[in-house]
Amino acid sequence: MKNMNKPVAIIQTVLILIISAVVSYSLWGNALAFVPFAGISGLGIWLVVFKNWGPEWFTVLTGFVAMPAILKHNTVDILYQIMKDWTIGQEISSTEAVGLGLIVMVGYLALKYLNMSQKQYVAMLANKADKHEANQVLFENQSIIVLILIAGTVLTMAIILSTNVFNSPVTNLLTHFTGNALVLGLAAVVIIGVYLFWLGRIGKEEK
Amino acid sequence: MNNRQSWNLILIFLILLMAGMLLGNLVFLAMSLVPFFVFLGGRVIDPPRYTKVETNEIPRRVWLGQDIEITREVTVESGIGTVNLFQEIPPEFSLVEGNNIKTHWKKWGRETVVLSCRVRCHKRGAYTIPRLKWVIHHPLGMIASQGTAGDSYELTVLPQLMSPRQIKSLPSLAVAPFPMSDVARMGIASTDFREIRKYTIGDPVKNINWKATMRQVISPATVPMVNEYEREGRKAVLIFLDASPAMLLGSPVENLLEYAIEATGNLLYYFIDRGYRVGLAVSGTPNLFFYPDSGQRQITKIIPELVHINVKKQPTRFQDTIDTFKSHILNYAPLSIVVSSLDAGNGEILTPAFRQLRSYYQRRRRLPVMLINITARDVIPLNLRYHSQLSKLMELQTNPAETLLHATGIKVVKWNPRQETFRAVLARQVKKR
Repeated sequence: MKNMNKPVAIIQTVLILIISAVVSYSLWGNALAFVPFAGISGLGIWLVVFKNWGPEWFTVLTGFVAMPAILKHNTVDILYQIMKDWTIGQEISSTEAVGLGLIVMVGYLALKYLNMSQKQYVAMLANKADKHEANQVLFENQSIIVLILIAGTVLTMAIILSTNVFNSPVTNLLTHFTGNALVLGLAAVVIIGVYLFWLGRIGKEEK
Repeated sequence: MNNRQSWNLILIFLILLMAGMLLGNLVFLAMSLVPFFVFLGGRVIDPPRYTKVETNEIPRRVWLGQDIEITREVTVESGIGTVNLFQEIPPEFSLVEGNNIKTHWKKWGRETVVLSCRVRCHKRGAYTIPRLKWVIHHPLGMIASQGTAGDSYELTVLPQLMSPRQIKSLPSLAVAPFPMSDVARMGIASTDFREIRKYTIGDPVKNINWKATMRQVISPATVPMVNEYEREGRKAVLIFLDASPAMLLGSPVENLLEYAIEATGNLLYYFIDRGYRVGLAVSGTPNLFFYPDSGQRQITKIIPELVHINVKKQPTRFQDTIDTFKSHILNYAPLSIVVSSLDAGNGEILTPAFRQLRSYYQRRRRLPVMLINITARDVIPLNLRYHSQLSKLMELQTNPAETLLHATGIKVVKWNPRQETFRAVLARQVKKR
């Protein structure tokens, strides 16, 4: 792509390689993992870095590859009939599985925002904006994105880790109430519904 | 809110949350929290908010080739994000210094973003410098707002005029029928008021306009103002400007018509400055003519019209344009100057026009008719395979018409705008015997 920012392209490539390596390893823990790694990373670099199409297709692909390992941590056996004969997907620990999921998700968001920044940068240079100014804007914007992504990941990890600590006392407490699943489920749906309604309203006002 | 970015995050969050709850999978639940927190983080950050724009003083009238400074100061309140500013300029303008696009990273607090550029206009005309366009982006692309701000400015670009004072001459007999040293200038002043001008040594004291002088007094060094009266027996000059479609030879910015207008403006300025009565008729634009008159008022009347001249699809015949001043030519035998180009392939139009013009003059030793022939060969964009031969071919094409005009006593003055200025051409014509 003409006028692309090389440091951003390098970061995108490194991220794609890391994500591809992790999901491929989760599929097979031997030399065979190199096959999906080469395929996913090659396709990802071509689509995201060279074609600048966005990381959606790459993420869908990595999601499929990581899915067998993640689905093995289901606690509700809805997919038991389908999954009982599966031989693919490594048996990884719960913490490793969460780490795998976070790498895929944070990687996707990072690639998405890098892609957005890259597109803005190319557009700025195409419109004859000053290269120094464009570089500065890109750098500052990425700093904010990295900060938000780190904050989001840290908060998520904090919540996941805290579930291990509070899991038993809260579960014991809730089992004393009859119809707890219904009450809690409805409450959660109502809260999410109200929140979405509020977001929609703000969106309309800002428009 | 940019719904697409925000709703994407919410959608991912909801899908993963539902999947996690349905399958009792902690990994999906953990994954769902990341876009949710990113969304919340994005909502916490406010995008910058535009408040006002201040613009420097932009002149309303400029000369062709003159630089214009455009400075817009944009005040942006609170929030962080990218601020993009774009000052659109007409295609006939070029950037000389600075940039008309500014991209700026807005940090916390109030900031002033300055967009400054210097532009130059390459074509006369009336232009609009539009309002400033601004686009503000949220750091995560959640919100993007855009709009226009500041004032738009109407700008008139006048044809480039040289200083006629730089071409000096003494009263004598001219070699060419170029009445730059015509003694009629020295004629007796009539009682017809012409204009008010600054006092020069030799002006009679009785001509001082005391009221006008008092109005001008701002310092002890102020020069008195004197009344100038029309002089008897002055010669008149008629200029015929060819604005036919053939004159569009060249590029939209640099073509024969532009140079013809430049030449016309300079001729007008030159003769008016020397006290002649100058008239103008434009072929190609019906009813655009000015009867011979003298003084600065004639310049202020004609120059703004030159700015707006455009080639019409159905031009008037050149003979009709000449006929506009038929009675004037018959009575006063003025110097007639036709500004056109034989290179434009309109020799067939010009030859009968000159024949007609010649018939209006009585038999004279030297016919006071002149053609300013603008050379087009260097103005045409050379992107043809055999362009190196173009110059020779055009010369061969125009030679017969030029020879014919010479033979009929018409003085042909060649002007190649790429090689010399019109000032140089004019200076060459004021040679004395």
